[in-house]
Amino acid sequence: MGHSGEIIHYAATQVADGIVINMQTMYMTWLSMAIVFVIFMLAAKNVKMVPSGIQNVMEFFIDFLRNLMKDQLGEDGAKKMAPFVITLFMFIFIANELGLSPQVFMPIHFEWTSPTNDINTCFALSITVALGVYVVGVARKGIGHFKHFISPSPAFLPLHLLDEVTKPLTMALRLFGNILAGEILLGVLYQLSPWIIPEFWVMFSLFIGFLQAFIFTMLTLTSYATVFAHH
Amino acid sequence: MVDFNMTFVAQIVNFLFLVWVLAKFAYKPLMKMMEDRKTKIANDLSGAETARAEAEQAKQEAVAALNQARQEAAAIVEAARVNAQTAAEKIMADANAAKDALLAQGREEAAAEKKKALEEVRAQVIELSMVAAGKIIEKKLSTAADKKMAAEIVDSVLK
Repeated sequence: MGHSGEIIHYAATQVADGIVINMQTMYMTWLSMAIVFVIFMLAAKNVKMVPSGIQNVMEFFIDFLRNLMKDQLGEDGAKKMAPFVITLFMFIFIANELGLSPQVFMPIHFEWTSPTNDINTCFALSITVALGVYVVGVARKGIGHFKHFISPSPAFLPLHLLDEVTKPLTMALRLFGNILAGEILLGVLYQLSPWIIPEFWVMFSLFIGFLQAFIFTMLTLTSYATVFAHH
Repeated sequence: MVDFNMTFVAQIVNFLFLVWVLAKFAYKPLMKMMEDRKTKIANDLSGAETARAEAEQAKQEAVAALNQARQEAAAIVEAARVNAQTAAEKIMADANAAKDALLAQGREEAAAEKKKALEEVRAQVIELSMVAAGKIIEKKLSTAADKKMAAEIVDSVLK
């Protein structure tokens, strides 16, 4: 990494002996976290019975996600998973949009990238979701959670095992590919034409950013659906 | 571009930290408010339903009370009418009795007057007869036997 010809820079840095961290990804992740945190704190500060302003917007998102959760996880599952799923959606959504901020308006040279353009971030999220299914599943059903691997018959075990591997793989790669491709294309377009043309791509990518966050969240919900399914 | 390194681990920590922080500080008040609102709306709706039922019951009670008052008023009027009739009948009966008593007394008095008058007339006639008979027979007839005889004559004439 760090070749001058590349459009995307991760600023991979050896922070300790043998430990390499992509610092650009770190900075942008912390920025995303801070933005999500500030948005939520503004919404949660002085919560009112009759919502207005940012509380209204956040309640719209929360209600939207909670209805999705209720469909997939049921009433109980929605309640338990709400903080995780809503944070997941908001973090990916904000992270996706960060890298699409119009670079042309930046007064100082600072590369706005999405934390989700880093394969490490995408896999971190999808593996967290996949492992979370095991954790929550075992917490709720004990060892019985693993019964769904041999349902409807033990012959399906290889399929289920394959599914367990491909699900986080495809989730991570889909997010990574979409966001990275969007940013590369945006960078190329800025090099070709500094004005106007890239903005159209920015508009489209803003939508893609929302869509990918939504898809990731929906796939997360389907993963957790087996845990909260009534048996 | 697809180098895996410790960023992967750091990102897991970052994300779980964010989930923890938001769950602790942001979701609880937001979720609580949303739940409270839901509860409040449900309570308000059931409260309105209760109030409606109470109003309905009060209306029914008012109607029942009105009906009872009407019945009582009718009973009072009927009782007054019966009392008045009874009183009128009694007054009539008393008047009739008084009238009958007066009539009877009148008749008695009249009969007594008549009897008294007849007695007086009889005595006068006896006197006149005596005088007339004395003069007619030019003979002094003044003994008791004479008088008795004349009385017998007069009585037979008057009867």
